[in-house]
Amino acid sequence: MTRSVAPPKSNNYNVDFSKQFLVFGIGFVITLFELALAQWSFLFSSAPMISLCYFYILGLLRPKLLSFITVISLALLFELMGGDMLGVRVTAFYVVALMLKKRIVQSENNDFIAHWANFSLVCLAVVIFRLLMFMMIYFTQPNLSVIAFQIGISILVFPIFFVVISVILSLTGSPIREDA
Amino acid sequence: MIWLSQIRRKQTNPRVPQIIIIALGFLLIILGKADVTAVRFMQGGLVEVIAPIYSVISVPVNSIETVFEGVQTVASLRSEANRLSAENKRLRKWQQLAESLEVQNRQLRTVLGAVIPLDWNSITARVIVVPGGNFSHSMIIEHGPGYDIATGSAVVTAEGLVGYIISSSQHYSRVLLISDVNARIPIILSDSSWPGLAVGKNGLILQLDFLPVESDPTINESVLTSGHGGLLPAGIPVGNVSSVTNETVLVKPTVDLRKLSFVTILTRKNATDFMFSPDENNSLYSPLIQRDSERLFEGLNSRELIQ
Repeated sequence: MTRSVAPPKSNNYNVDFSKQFLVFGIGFVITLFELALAQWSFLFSSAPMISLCYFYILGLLRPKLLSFITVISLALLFELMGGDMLGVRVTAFYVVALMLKKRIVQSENNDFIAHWANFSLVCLAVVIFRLLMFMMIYFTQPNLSVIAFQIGISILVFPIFFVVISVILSLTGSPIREDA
Repeated sequence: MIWLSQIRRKQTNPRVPQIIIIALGFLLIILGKADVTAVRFMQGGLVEVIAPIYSVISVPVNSIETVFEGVQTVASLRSEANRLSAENKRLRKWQQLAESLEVQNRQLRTVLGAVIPLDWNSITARVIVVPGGNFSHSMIIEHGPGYDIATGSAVVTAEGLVGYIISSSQHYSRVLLISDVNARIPIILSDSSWPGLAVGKNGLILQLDFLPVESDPTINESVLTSGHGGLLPAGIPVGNVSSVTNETVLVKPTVDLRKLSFVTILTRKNATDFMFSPDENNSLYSPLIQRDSERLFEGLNSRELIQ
């Protein structure tokens, strides 16, 4: 008769709080920068979702640094500053962060193209969720071409962010990939 | 022991907090839709705190845009000079025409006794946050302290109507753009004076609703605010008719909403908060007369009375 022994509990919370706070600070600046990007006339109402890029890449490379409070508070900040629908972005970003934590959107061989493809799907899912909520709340349909442009430009921005964050993480001296 | 450990595992179900957070997200959606006063105050307070930081962060973005504009200007200097000289000639003609029309207008006013709306003040404000997503077309403007800006005040530029104030704090106000899906602007067609409602579509084009069947809008016909309801002053250009089909009439706004830097807020000298005090709002205009043969809206009267 064998007795089932519980596996040792992984110490997921053994991360320096100051690092998480730094991630929050950078996310704060990136969120406001995303709002500022809309001042360029060709990005009017279709600024790339660079905060989603940031969370996604950080969730892939350093999941321990990505806390749910950071994701929720920064999504809420964008909604309040941008006058967006309250709670929609928060919910969508939380679900994405949850998926990243649970390793649902992770490629097995750590291939960049696979990460990019996964991000494209996540980006599409987030926008479709927001679109559905918008249609449920206002019973109307917004301009879809602008939304498509926003998705496209967000997907295009992803590699730039990926390279920049990877370089920063490698410069800090620690391994780029750090599983939960 | 195994049984006990299973019970303990059930008690600490890790999915419960996740479900609670998602439920809280949906609760936020409902609260946002319900337009709770506390949420509005929270939003106003947050804007007061964050907006100065945002101004600093947006400096490099503006600088890059300025550099690009500079490069474009240098590249098209010759054509720009030709265009400006042609425009200068055209403007001189218009100036002469305007001066003669001004004299004529003054004479007509004395004849007709037209009332000049003196009860409006103007406040210049700087645009600091423009729409970043396509699900909400609102922007934050900075007007500085010392102004009592009522909700519902019109926001305009020299080209026409931009939107109206939906919330205001000490230094900053939020403007709902005419392109937002929630914006409803009472308008009239300039040539035929038919009334209607300009509705935003969260794009760069507006749609005219509640336009009478008899109306026959033409392409490039100007669309002006009608002043119905007393919220916005009458006669502000909203846009020009860009497309007419059997079902929809589309209007292109006169103001390029993508290139706003400074705007003017029009406030009444005796400001009334239209959106927060419906009782006061109701006292500013009379209800429609309930008679079949007569309607209040301009444009409907003439034809029906003739018939």
